Amino acid sequence: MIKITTFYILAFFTLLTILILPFYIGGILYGSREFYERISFLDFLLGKEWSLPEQKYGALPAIYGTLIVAALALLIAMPISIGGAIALIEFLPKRLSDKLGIIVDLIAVIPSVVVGLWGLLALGPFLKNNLYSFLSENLSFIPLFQSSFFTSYNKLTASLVLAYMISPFALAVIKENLKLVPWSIKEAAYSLGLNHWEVVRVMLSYIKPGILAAFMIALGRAVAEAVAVSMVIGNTCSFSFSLLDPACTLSTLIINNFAEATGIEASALIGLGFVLFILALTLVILTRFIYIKALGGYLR
Amino acid sequence: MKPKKLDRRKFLYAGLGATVAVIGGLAAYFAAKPPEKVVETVVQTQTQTQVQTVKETQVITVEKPKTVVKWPEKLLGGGATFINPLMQKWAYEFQRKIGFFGIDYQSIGSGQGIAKLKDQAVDFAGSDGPLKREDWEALKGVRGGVIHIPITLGADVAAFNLPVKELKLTQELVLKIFDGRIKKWNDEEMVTLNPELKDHDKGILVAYRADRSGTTFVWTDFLGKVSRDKYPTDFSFKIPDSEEDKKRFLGAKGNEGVTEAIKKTENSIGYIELSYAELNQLNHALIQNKRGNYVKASLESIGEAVQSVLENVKLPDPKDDWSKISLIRMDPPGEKAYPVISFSYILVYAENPTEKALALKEFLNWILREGQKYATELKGYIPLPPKAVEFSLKAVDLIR
Repeated sequence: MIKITTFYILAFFTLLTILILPFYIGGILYGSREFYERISFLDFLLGKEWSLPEQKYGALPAIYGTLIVAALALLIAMPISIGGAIALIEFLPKRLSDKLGIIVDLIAVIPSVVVGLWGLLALGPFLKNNLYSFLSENLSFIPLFQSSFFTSYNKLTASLVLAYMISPFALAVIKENLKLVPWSIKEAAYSLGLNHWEVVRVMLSYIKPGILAAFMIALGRAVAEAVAVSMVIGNTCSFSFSLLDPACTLSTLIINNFAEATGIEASALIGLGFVLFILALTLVILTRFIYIKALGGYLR
Repeated sequence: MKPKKLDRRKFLYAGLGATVAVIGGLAAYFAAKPPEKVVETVVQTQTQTQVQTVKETQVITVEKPKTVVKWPEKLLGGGATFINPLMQKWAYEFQRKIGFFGIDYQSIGSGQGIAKLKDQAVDFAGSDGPLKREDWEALKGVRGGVIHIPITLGADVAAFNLPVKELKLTQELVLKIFDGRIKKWNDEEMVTLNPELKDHDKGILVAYRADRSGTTFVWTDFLGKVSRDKYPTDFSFKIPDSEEDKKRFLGAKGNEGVTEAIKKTENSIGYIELSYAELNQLNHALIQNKRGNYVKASLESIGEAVQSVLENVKLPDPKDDWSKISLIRMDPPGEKAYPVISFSYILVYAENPTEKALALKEFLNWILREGQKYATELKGYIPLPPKAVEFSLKAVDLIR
């Protein structure tokens, strides 16, 4: 009897989270209805120009910016997180790794506005003077670093700030997963004569779903982060390929303009929110698909 | 076991105790509650021009018939973030010195403020610009229309980060820099005015407000005027169309953000409120005015600009369509007038409930007569010159 009651309660809450979703999507669509009367969703999604004063509403540059910045941030954050987690669990003495683990967890709770300010006031100017000047002077033959203007407001700063924000999350998830690798597996690996590094590789392949989960959390944050990114990215929507040029993302456009927007503009910004939702959803589905089909992963 | 018999006497005592507790509690509650907020004051209706208000605590000797005024608990306002610090100061000082009622101003942005005024959710709205034509038309018939009351002044400057101390710009040059047509500091047109820049072969980085703001509205109003409305006047800044030029444009949030961007980026120029340039000791450009003089923004040059406009141009009726009215477009004709200035407005309905109307008049009159001195005190605001105060006082008189 108790079991059945518990089941119903749990089922209710699970269903509730799922049932909220249609209301959420409905709310977004309702909020932007005024906008879709003016412009079709496809024109909006594939429009190349975003300019509020000229009433041009194209989401493509923002989608482009979001993808580039998020991809770069993940590219930086994932190896750091995996490496950091391995170091904490496998290589550092337990007392030290416990303390470092706490510090990493603390980094995760720094409010994004603080990280953004740090990026704006400290990291950005430092990188501009030391890294960007070097990149644009010596590596400008690579299109990624082509820029003749020295500024700290660009995609690379945004990605680095994002990477700093998301890696503690990914690291924590991977760390907990590594802790849970059964001793039997490690012992079996050692008994086959594998060295420490090879055992770690066995462990990593064992926790693939955990790494996927970490990746998803990091991805979600990287795509959606607005406050910190808007402070360092330069906020000029463009399709520039160079990482040293400014860009805009979906969430920064929303956060920058929503406070003062009314009417059609507010509507357009809610539309951007919908695009962001679709984008995140697509990325999550795509990640799972690649994970299962291409990497031969399995899901627990 | 036999259940205990209920003791009647105990019940009686308990009931009595409870009653006493309740009555005591109620008494304490009413004693602790502040007296009714409505303060009754006596307004002497004498022949003096200034309405005298006397607090009830004072001994009043009146010969003329007196009217008892009932103040509302508070006035609700909302809108522009630009005037927020000044408005909070006004609200605080007004409550401290006069204190008939409270003022609650929410800094939600001009657009939201006007939207709330439309919904009649606020008693007054603060706005960096006048009502748009369509808004004015929509509100023309509502409660006697909306009154524009200029309340303070703002000025945008072009702050820059260059090895030179002084930068002279014609209005045309300002436009060309901010719409992306002039790309380098040693452009020919720049060098003829500023010979020091001859060897400064660097790209111009333009910092702008990425968020919607009244500061941008003022600046784009200026760019719009110079370009004969080819450049759009809006609360958002329009970045150039070409991908190549976009690379030189950096968007930052808030006046603080743009200030920071200019400070941290060499060879940059951007528009900010005068106060931010002053507080952060950023150099700002001299802009050519109607008379052909190059003028730096300062309290004096802005004051002269407003005064010279008001002497030469007649402002429309406060209830009329103001959408085309801007100090920038009137092109201040003063000898040393700084050209990029604007009024900040308080927008109110002409017809209000009696209590609110009295309170609005009381508060707005106080702002215009006594409150202007706080504008200089707070830095970043420029007090209205006498002519403008005169105009605004007349506008306040239209409130009913």
